[in-house]
Amino acid sequence: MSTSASDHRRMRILARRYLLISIFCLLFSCVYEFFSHGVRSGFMISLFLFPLLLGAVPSFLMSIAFVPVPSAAARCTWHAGVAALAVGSCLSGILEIYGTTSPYVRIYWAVGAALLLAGALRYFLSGGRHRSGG
Amino acid sequence: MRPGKRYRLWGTLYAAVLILFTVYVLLDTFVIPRSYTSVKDGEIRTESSGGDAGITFSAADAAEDSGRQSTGETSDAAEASDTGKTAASASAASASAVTETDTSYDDGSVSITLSTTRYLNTTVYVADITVSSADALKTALAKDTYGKNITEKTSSIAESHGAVLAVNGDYYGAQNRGYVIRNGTLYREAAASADQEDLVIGSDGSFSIIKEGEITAQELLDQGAWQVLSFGPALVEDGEISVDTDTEVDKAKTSNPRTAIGEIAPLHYVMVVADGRTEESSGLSLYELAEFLQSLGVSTAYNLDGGGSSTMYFNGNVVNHPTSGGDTISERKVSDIVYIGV
Repeated sequence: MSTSASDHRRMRILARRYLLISIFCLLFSCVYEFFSHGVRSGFMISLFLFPLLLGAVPSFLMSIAFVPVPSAAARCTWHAGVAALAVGSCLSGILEIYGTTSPYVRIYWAVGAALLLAGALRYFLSGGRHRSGG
Repeated sequence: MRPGKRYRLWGTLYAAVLILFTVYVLLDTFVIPRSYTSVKDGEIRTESSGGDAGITFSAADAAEDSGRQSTGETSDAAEASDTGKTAASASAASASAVTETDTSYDDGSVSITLSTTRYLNTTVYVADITVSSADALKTALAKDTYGKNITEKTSSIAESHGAVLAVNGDYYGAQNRGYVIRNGTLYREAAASADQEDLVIGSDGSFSIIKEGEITAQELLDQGAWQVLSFGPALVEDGEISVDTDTEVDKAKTSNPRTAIGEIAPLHYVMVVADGRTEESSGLSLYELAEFLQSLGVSTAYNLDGGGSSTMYFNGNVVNHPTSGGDTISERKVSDIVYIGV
């Protein structure tokens, strides 16, 4: 099983993009919390962790380690899962700070977890990179 | 189609679905009104999902069934209906005996004294209330309708019900769970959590605190609960402060506008509203609010919805400075009020 320099470069770019998204999420959380009159929400505070820990860190590790990079299909599925979890966390934070709830929030967690699982399975079952693109 | 294009298209479609679904969730939570039950003209009308009128029965019957006791002169009028129409006529009937100023009201059966005090850099409005009948202490729903996102300003609900004094309630509409019993009618019996503390106002006007994990809403109703407010926490129980500074969550520690209601003695109550989020008035933490209420001599006190919702209405005017929309002085629309009616 081999990895190419272009694969590593692609993962570095992906890590940078996820890092920028993490910074944006962190700024968004800080601004939202600043105007929330002292009401704190763990969901809002930890919003930036989803793109950071599930996106930037794994992408960076793959860019420096000699491991196969995921296929475009696996990456797409994984990205979708991270997006669902991050949006779910943001929405949960907004509702918690306002002091309300919604039965729909659990859908984000379920869909996000399922997509992450599907992306991981796709990666591990295929033994790494199949084809590039996307 | 090339794999790269296919995945980009898939990603775009997924993002669109995610955004649209999130917009729907936000609209469902904050905007789209859903009425479940309406209380009109002395009747409680339950609307079925099929659009049929459903079950209809009179509020007077509900009061009788719940075994409400009344001891005062105005009990008959108050029991007949909680609608503004009846309240207005009752008010007109007793108008000749009313003595009122900007800070007081007395009609022989209801006596209210409003005072404003400074406490910990906060302006606190205290309404000291003595009634001869438990019937005078009432609640009302926005637009006389039980539902989600059904809101109206505290002053507007108060005016339509002929209230002398009113404060915002527990904003039950912001939650999907938590007991809701109003004027002897059970609207919601889903418990919020086992530890959720509720204020129970009995048919005799007495206050007590329960935890939703320890008793069902139906049992409360069977035991004569006339109002159940589900916000909290309890501030004072048996004359002792029941909130702990160490175990409070962040939002409780923070100074904010607050609304609370307390019982000093049988048929002797206080309603308290603290302004906050302004340079003139910073607001109170829950513990500070509890200390203040304890100093008033309450045996039981309970925290109602605060923040931008905190509003006190007296004799046709909003007396405090509600801060809805951040720190802007304006009155927020709420789901329900607690009021003194005649």
